Amino acid sequence: MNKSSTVLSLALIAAAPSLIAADLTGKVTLKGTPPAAAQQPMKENMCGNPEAYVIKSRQFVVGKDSGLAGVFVYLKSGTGVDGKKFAPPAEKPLLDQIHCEYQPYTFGVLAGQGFTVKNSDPVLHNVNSTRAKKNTGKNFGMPTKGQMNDLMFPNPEFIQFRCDVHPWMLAWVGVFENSFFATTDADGNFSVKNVPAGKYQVVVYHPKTHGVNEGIVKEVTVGDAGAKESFEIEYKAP
Amino acid sequence: MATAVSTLFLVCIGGMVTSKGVGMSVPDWPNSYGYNMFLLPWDKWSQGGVFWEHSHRLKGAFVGLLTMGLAISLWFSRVPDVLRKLGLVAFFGVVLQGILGGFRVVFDKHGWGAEFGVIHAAVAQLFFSLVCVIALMTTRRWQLWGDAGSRPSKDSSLRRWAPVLTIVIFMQLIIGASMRHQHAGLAIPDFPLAYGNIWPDTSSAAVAGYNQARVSMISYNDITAGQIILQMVHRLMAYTIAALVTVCWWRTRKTHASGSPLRRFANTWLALILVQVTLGAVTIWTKKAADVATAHMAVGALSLMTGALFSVAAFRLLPVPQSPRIPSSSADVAARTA
Ligand SMILES: [Cu+2]
Repeated sequence: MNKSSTVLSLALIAAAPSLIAADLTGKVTLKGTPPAAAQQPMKENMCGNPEAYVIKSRQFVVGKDSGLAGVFVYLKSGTGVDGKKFAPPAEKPLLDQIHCEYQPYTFGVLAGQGFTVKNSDPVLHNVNSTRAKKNTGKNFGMPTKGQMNDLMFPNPEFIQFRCDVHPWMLAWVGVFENSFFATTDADGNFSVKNVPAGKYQVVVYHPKTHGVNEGIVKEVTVGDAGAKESFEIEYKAP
Repeated sequence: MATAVSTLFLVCIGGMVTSKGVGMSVPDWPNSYGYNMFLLPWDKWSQGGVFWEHSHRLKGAFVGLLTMGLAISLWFSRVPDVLRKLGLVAFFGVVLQGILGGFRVVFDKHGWGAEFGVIHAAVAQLFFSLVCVIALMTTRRWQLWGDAGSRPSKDSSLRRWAPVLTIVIFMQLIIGASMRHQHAGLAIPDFPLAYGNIWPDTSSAAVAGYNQARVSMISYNDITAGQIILQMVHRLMAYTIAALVTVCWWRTRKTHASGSPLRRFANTWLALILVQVTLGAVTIWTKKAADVATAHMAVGALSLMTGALFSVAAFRLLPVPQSPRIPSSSADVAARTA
């Protein structure tokens, strides 16, 4: 590396402190006891599964230490996102339909980023996203095992995916304005990668709890070494 | 002779409309059809769905043809003018119904499917009642009722009561249909209380809490405060209708001999309403089991139809009400003293 390029890179780092990026990590927990998951018993050879099995509703999936799974965490505004445009990556996440369930239950894409819907079952599913409000939802049948269809939504919102043939089939796709989003794992842990240092409005959105509301909004300062934040969602028994 | 043929046609249509009524639980396809899914082999399912939708359309077309036959045979037979006109109304009604059904499918993409679905359902109810009224008016009995000598009672208040009550029932059916078409499941899960209260809390925090608790295998839409209020209105109207039909029944009982036509209609009407209220409660208690909900809708259609028949029978059988007038003219005074 010659001298001028070293100076150049130093200058770049100095001019753009936001190039130093670290992860915003943490945990989302659930306070209170939600109703037990509803169950759908399935006979053997249904939906391509040779064994009999039980499908459970995934509205509340609570893991270790009350960690809540499948919760969206994203940066709404702040230093590294305000006024910036984010080009959608070429990578396409997969929304699979396997044994009459969507996998995963929740996942995020950047606005304009494509994703692939796959049917891994030997039965017909219809993929219905017509409940979208800010995007044009689609409803199409996928009769063939192994069939793949690509989808893309240009406007940020949370979109419910359903199959009307199997009314329990439900998934949530979060379409985000910037690339700083994550969903919690089985124990409620999340990691929003490569967040430039600065102050942010962080939103935690759990579809079942927050519905048409925005979710929990919290101001978080992300330093050079990242940040760790915990959030608590309350289950209010009616 | 023509009357007999028409009646035969009418019975056919009645049967078709009834089965159409049963079919009404399916046009929600593919949404509410999921209930009965399991009875069908999986690989046949796509054919099953197509079959239902297609057969509903075929039935609709068949009812359309029958209605056309009915309208034509009424037009060319020696029946009162009013029957001819009703035949025409039925014919245009069935055409409108077909168009509405098509709109429902077409506009579904644009988010108007539920609205057209409700109108489609409302017209179906009206059509069913209309066909039954025509059927009644083509019977021999109807002719006999026309004889002034057979006036069973001088009390004409039922002429006013019955139609008003029938209209209220129709409004109740529209509310019921719009609840069905929202696909929100039960907006209020308990009965006779509502979320444990006489009147539920509909603040946004409370509604968010209700939705949080709706953990279910069926991916229902979230409920809104408006849907909860609609459900409460449906319940209050149910109590009101039950009370008013009871009053109507009591009134008929007091002014008509047992076995008289209006007494029979009143008995049937009250029985249907009581069954209907029970079915409504059971719909909630069974968490909207598909068969109970469908029965609730069918008995609703029968209640409307009985109300309509009661009304036209009251018009036929009871004297025109003498509106109480202040005797201002000498003619009035003369009429009174005469
Ligand atoms: Cu499916």
